[in-house]
Amino acid sequence: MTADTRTRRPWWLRVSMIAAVVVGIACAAPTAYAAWTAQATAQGSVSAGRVTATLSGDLASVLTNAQMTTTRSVTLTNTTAGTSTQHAQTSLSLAVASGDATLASSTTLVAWPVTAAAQCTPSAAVGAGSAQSTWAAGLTLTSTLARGQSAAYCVRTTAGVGAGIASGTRSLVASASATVSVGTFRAEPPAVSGTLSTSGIYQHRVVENVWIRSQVTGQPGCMDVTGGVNAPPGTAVGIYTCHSEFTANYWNQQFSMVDVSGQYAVLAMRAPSGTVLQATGGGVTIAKRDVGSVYQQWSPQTNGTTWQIVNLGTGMCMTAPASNGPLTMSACTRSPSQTFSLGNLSGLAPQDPDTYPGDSDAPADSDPGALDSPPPPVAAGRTRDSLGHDSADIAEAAEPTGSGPSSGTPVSDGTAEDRVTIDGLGDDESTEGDSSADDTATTPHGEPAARDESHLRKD
Amino acid sequence: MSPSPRRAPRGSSRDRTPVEGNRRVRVGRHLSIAAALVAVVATAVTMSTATGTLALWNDSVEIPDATIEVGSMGLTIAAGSGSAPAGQTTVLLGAQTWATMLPGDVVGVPITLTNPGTVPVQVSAALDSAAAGQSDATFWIQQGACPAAGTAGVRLTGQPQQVPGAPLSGDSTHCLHVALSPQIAATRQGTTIVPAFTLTFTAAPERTP
Repeated sequence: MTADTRTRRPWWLRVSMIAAVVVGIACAAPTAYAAWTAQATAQGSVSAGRVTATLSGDLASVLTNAQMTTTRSVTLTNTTAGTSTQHAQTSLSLAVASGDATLASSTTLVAWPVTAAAQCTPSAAVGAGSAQSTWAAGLTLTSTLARGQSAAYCVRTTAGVGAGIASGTRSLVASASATVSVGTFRAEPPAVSGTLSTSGIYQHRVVENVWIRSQVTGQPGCMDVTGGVNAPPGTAVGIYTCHSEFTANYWNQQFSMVDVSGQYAVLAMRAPSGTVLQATGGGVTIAKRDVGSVYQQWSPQTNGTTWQIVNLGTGMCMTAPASNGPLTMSACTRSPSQTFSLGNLSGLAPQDPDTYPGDSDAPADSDPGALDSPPPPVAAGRTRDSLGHDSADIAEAAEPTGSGPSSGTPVSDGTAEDRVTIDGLGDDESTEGDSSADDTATTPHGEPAARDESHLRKD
Repeated sequence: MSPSPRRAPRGSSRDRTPVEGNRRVRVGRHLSIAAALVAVVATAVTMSTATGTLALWNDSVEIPDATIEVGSMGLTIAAGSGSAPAGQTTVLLGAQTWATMLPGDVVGVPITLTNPGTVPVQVSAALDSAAAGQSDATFWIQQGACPAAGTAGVRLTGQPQQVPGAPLSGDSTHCLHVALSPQIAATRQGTTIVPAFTLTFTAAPERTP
């Protein structure tokens, strides 16, 4: 007998042992258990929805000198179907789809949410939640939007003077696009686009450093301060026969352009000294410098041959009468009465608008040319001219530069008005005289006048 | 050295061969072992389940005549918060119930479970394997009306989960929520997430100690 056979137990013994254990365990359960059960079922299905949205509006605009700002609107609607109560996250982006990069970078873009697109009027104040940029940089506005709701946005575009071009027209395609998302689901409705263009906005150019005379196209008249070199502020500016002399008594036909931050020009009269041109009512007057006045902000615009003088406060162009008489301001049409030939008289002109009495455009400490403050010391070997300019600065200013207006212009001594031509300016066809020290000259209008040298610095 | 087999005495009235004698001895021994095991288990069970002392003195008292009735139980279901009709054991929750769900949405519908019987029952619920095996939509059940937002109660799986609430006796309204995962893939937008699910409720009499 082997070990296996010795230890193997019969089957009935094994069964009885297992049964005993099972019965024991079953009997040891502390609770009773019934085998009754009942069942019921619920059946259904689950499906995901789709986030949908629409974008509508109109971004097409034509910018002109009279309307440098346009206000349009776009409306984003969350059209998601279903019963979800979740608010969608929305993102509205405004950008240039294609077109003129210069126009894109020189137009200011402001957008803000409103409750209704109808609120987007030209006079509407920019509301809360606004964002500002340029069309070149674009901008994005975000918000939340419940299902079925709409969000309207005003889109305001303002052209800067940099939008001008010799052809008078630039254009780009502005685009508004949006995303509407709930969690990982999102919708991108078709974009809204429109052509943004300029019309009749010519190249803004400020010819600095020189005294300029403006002659009406096709007329013998020049821009002229009525009443002569001693006329008080408020005096009208008109058209009068171009002077043939350029002494101080005839300086009421001479002005200079002073650039202010590249945004506009101040047109400063040589005489009456301390005055600038201002659009007043329907005309043009001389006035004390007032930094806060948009009516003293001008945009000299050229097509490469002739100029139009646009007042940025009114959007109107300086307009000459048919013959001698006061200037008026009217909508720019590029008619001959609104185009001028600018003659560069080459006399050195102040470049800082602070030269003229009144409020300052710049901090006082950067105002070396102010009449009521002493000029900075002149370096050794240099002199100061009658207007207080350092001779070195004068020479430097007259040096031809790539973009400067005085290329090829001989340096003036500041007293003799040397007739020259500036690139891009129309020829000054007047005949010049040489009487810079002519104290006995008559007024431009034939009346004797005392020379006004009050604007000259007395070093 | 192995023990020598025990031999029966010669001339015995039970004249057996030595082999037969040994087998009888082994059988008897095994029977004794089995009986002992049963006795030990029975004793252990008795001792472990006894809650009082065991007295050898017994007494008895008669109780009045009584009627022993058999209890009843059942389970019916209905959509909404009204009583389930008798015998209705399946409810179809319309396709629109959980249609057009967006990521993060939680949509609940009330269902009413009814136990028309006399014995309170415990109710458990389990999803079918397909519904339980996906993660884009989760199923939850809680007792009472559906809350305004969010999930609550017990998340349902493929394994029976006890339905919250006291043992069911009569009607009980519960809220069956379905939540769509906030992380669901964007490509699932506009698609069917769970084509058909079956939620099985099982009722069993309450266990009593």
